[in-house]
Amino acid sequence: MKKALVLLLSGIMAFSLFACAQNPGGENTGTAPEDRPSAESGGQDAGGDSQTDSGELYEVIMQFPTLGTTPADIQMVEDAVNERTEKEIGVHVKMYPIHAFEINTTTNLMVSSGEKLDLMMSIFEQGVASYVNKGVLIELDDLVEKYGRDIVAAEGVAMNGGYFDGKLYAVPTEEKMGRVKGFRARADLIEKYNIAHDPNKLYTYEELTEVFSTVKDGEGAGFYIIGTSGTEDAPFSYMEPVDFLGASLASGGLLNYGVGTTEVVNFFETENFASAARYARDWYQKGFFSPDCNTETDAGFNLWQTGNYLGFFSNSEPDMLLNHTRTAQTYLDCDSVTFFTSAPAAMSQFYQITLWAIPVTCENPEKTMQWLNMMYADEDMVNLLYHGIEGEHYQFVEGSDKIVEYPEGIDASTVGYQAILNVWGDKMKDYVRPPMDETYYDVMREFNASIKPEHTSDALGYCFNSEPVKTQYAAVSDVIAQYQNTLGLGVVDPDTVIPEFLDALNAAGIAEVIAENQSQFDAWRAAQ
Amino acid sequence: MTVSTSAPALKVRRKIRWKSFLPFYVMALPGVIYMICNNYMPMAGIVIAFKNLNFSKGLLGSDWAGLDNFKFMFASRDAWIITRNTLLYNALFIVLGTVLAIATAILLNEIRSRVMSRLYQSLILLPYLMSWVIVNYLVYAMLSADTGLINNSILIPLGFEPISWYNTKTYWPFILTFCQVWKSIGYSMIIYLSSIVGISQDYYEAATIDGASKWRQIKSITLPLISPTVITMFILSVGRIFYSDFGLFYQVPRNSGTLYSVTRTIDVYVYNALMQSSDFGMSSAASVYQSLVGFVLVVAANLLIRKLSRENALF
Repeated sequence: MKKALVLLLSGIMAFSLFACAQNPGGENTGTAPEDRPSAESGGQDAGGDSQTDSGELYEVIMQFPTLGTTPADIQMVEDAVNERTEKEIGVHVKMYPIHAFEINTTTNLMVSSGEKLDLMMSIFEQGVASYVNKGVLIELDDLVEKYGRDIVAAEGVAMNGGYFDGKLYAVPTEEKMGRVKGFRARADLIEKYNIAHDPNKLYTYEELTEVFSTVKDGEGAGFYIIGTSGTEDAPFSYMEPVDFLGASLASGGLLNYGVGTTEVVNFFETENFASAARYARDWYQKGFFSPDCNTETDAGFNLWQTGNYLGFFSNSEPDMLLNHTRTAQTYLDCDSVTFFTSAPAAMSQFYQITLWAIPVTCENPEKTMQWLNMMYADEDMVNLLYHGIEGEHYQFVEGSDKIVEYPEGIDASTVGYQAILNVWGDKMKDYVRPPMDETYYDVMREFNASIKPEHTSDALGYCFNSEPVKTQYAAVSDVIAQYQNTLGLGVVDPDTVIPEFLDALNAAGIAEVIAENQSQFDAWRAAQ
Repeated sequence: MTVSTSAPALKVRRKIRWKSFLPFYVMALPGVIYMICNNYMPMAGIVIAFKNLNFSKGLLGSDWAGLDNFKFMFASRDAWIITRNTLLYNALFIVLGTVLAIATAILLNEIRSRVMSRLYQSLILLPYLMSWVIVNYLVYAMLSADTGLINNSILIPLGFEPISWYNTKTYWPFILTFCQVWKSIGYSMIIYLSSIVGISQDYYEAATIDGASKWRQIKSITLPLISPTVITMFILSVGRIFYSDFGLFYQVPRNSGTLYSVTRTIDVYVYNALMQSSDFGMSSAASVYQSLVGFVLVVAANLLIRKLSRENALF
């Protein structure tokens, strides 16, 4: 019997050893970085360097956000990156592929277990607040000043997205310095009903209702106007320019693009929201939304492609418009037009979507920042990370040094390397693919220049810290989840439900949250 | 567990017994190791519920938060409704699920054709294997306001007004109960069926000779003999009465805000409340609270059963 036990135990141990041994070879390395001195660098002189200079070389473990598939040639690109970085800044970059939706959890786990991680991505979070409160990030103010000049130059006003409590914790990857909102519609139907369309005007609820009614009356039942899922932002968030102060509406916001006002208000208590809810109700009753819109799970953009909808509310910057037009041409066989609903604006919530940050597990923040800066400064590096290696993964279209295509015999599905999520450095330095052309960046610069001071929030750089009122903040978030979209999509009668909603918000303690936000905001302003 | 309760009586022979049981211990070893690694070691994480977690200070070095992390569960005005929904739905599921599963098991056991019996068994089990996301779409195909089967093929042809199912509260307690029972019955039915099959045919033969009707046989032979299984299953489900099936309550009503007062349970509340802040302390607090209530209820249920019939108690 003892023999059996010993056998069994040794079996288990052997198995676990085997499992451990498997790890470093797998995708998610990071625990034993020095095991892999740039595997394929043999042919290059860098190979010798990395051995002798190992005292000076610092290895930066950098997250590489994917949507599930790691590019096959990631090692090849990594080697190409290292060939330059090892010589130029003494950094060996190690990419750590990770699913974008798992980044938050994985980062927290890595940092809490003290695993080596030098450069992390905050993606789809509301800024860095939750990371800073958990003590995950280090401050970057001095580092950026010393080594990050090019980052500041590239990001400009967008840098504000990385601030928390007056200190810089992350740097964004924005090429758009603002956002503009609008209703995206099929051009063929707009023409069919002879609707006048003015691209330079901001449409009001009243004017949109008129447009929608014309199309709805003409197309009849079974055809809807506004495609939206139950979890997307309701139309009011496209119509009302509210600065969320780096958090969500659960902690109030500044009305009127955050300009000329310092009062944090409960948006749901304002006449703006009440009137938005009444219009939404009207739209719902007129059949502009599908009857189950608040439980719809497909995004408005996808519903639009079915051909059963006139359009959807969306961010409408030049790159979005290109993308929508391409989609309309593919699926609907027509162009698309935009009814703008708010001016190009700069508000605090716009720059928190993708941010690079340095976690506390980083041992050499200086070198890490030098590498981060190189990503923003160096056009070749940006495109190496985004498109891969020239000739191997992309080639220039004849006669252009900005427009690229896949090399012969390769397409999007067979290419060995392509960063699905473009989070690499200064995106204004990216090579573009058709149908974008060389004018794209001019259009984008023009857009960036079109953001007027009266639409640039005074609160840029401020970010609410919900920690002191986290109990109330959680309870308020829950109430908002319950009412926001049923009211915002007009599924329920605002006259009876808004009072109920406001009661619930007050019971959950929204007043305390807003008071806390106001005092933090006042303190922040005083410090400016 | 049965080994340890019978241990005192066998104290003298324990040594010899221990040796002869060794193979079984060895067989249990992987399971025990798994339990320790997977169920006991993570319990250290309970401490997170009482901390303001800060990674730079480490798990143990973080500041104590007392019971602050627990407060948010009671901060909602709907705390009472949420608790009520969780408890009542689960109580209903336990009672209805048990009764219907036993009934189905008995009926299936009466089917003489082996092929048909297997076929029915598989058909009833099938929904159990589906994910709630798929169930959500099946239900949506039935209930959708403009394209749904019930509105378009039943209510409208019969001359009734179509119903906006996802925005009408009244029907949801029935819909949710139906979905849950439909989905879970197959699994518990198999457990009951296997213990019914294990009952010796001699009892039934003797009863038939004595002229007992089928109903009488079920009442006096089948039910008493499967009662230990029923009790075990009951205690296990009581332990989870404060947990709700997130899939059922979140996916099936498609998170419709208008239905919240009848569909929202603790897990849905925690999800909605913490989506914005992803606070580890608060989410651990929620599950510590749920486990604690579950633990108390399991002990209480077992105590009750021990009072009623000692030999059926689990421990």
